[in-house]
Amino acid sequence: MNTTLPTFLDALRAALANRAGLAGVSVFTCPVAPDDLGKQAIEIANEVEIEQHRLSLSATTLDEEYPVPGAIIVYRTAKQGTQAINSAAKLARDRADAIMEEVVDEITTNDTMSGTVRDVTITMQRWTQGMAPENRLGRFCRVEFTLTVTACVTP
Amino acid sequence: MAVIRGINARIYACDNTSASTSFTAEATVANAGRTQFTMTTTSKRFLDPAHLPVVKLAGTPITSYSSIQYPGARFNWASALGAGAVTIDGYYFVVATLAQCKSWEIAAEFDYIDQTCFGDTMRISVPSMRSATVTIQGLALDDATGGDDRFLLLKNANLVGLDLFMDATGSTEKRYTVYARPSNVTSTAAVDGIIEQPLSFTVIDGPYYVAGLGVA
Repeated sequence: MNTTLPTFLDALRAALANRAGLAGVSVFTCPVAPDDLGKQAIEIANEVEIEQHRLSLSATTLDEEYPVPGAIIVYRTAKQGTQAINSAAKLARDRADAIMEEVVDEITTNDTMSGTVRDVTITMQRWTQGMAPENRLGRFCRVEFTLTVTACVTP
Repeated sequence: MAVIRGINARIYACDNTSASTSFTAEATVANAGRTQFTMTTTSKRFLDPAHLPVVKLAGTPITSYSSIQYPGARFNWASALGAGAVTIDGYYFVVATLAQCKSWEIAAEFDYIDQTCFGDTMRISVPSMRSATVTIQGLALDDATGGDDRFLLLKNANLVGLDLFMDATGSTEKRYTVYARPSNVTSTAAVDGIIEQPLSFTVIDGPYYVAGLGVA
């Protein structure tokens, strides 16, 4: 095995897809065009840089660590008016938070990602809110996050 | 200039928690001057110092050797030994790879006695006792192939045989071989790292430098 990244991404996608709380959320392990995202989606691993070094004498085992970038995107439409715009932003934000909680819960309770890696943890979150491009009155919430993965691999 | 790659380093170890195994009539290989004879079988080179080996020259027991090197199974004579095959009867410890180690370090030193007197223009230091220590940086053992908890080594200050290979490839093997006793075992756990268990040993026989005799 060269790296655990492919098997980790497969296991992560399967684990997230099995969560009842993520029903209706599209999970992608690749970059996706905006039109394919839908109203709520998780996009993972557009670019991953893997660091590897030897782990021990007497073995060819490598220790690897890599950050996996991900993002949750939620769109909500809105009508005119302060109340409606705030409501749309809150709906998008709350749903993004709920999706993020599902991701956190999966990572926390399945921190070897079904045995594919030694450890995975969330090490960064960046929250962004904005106006949905197809509807200037709509709002989106985007949560970028980083999963930091460590693993042993034997080439 | 050849540079030895660290990736070729290895640690082989044995300890006396398991009983030693007897052997008879093991062949030896002599140096050019027939003053050093080393057991040919690489896997039996950690002789049990609790049993005095029986050295035979052409089948006849002899005790004319000047010293026995138990780690490494080498027998030394002050002058060239006469013709005939040298064989050994004795006991050995089974050696195995010490798993999940990151590095080893061996350090030998002399204590010096200060004999400086009035009138001396420079400090006079006389070497006295020689000592050596081995430090191994290792990970906590986490699987069956790694063997027992390393703290067990410290439990009875076991006798431990160590082959510290600079290069464990068959054709260019180089190592320090010692008998030692564990002096310190530490466990370190950090939330963002791997559990490590570095080991320290006090050398009680050696270190001996060995090269070109093969890897067990």
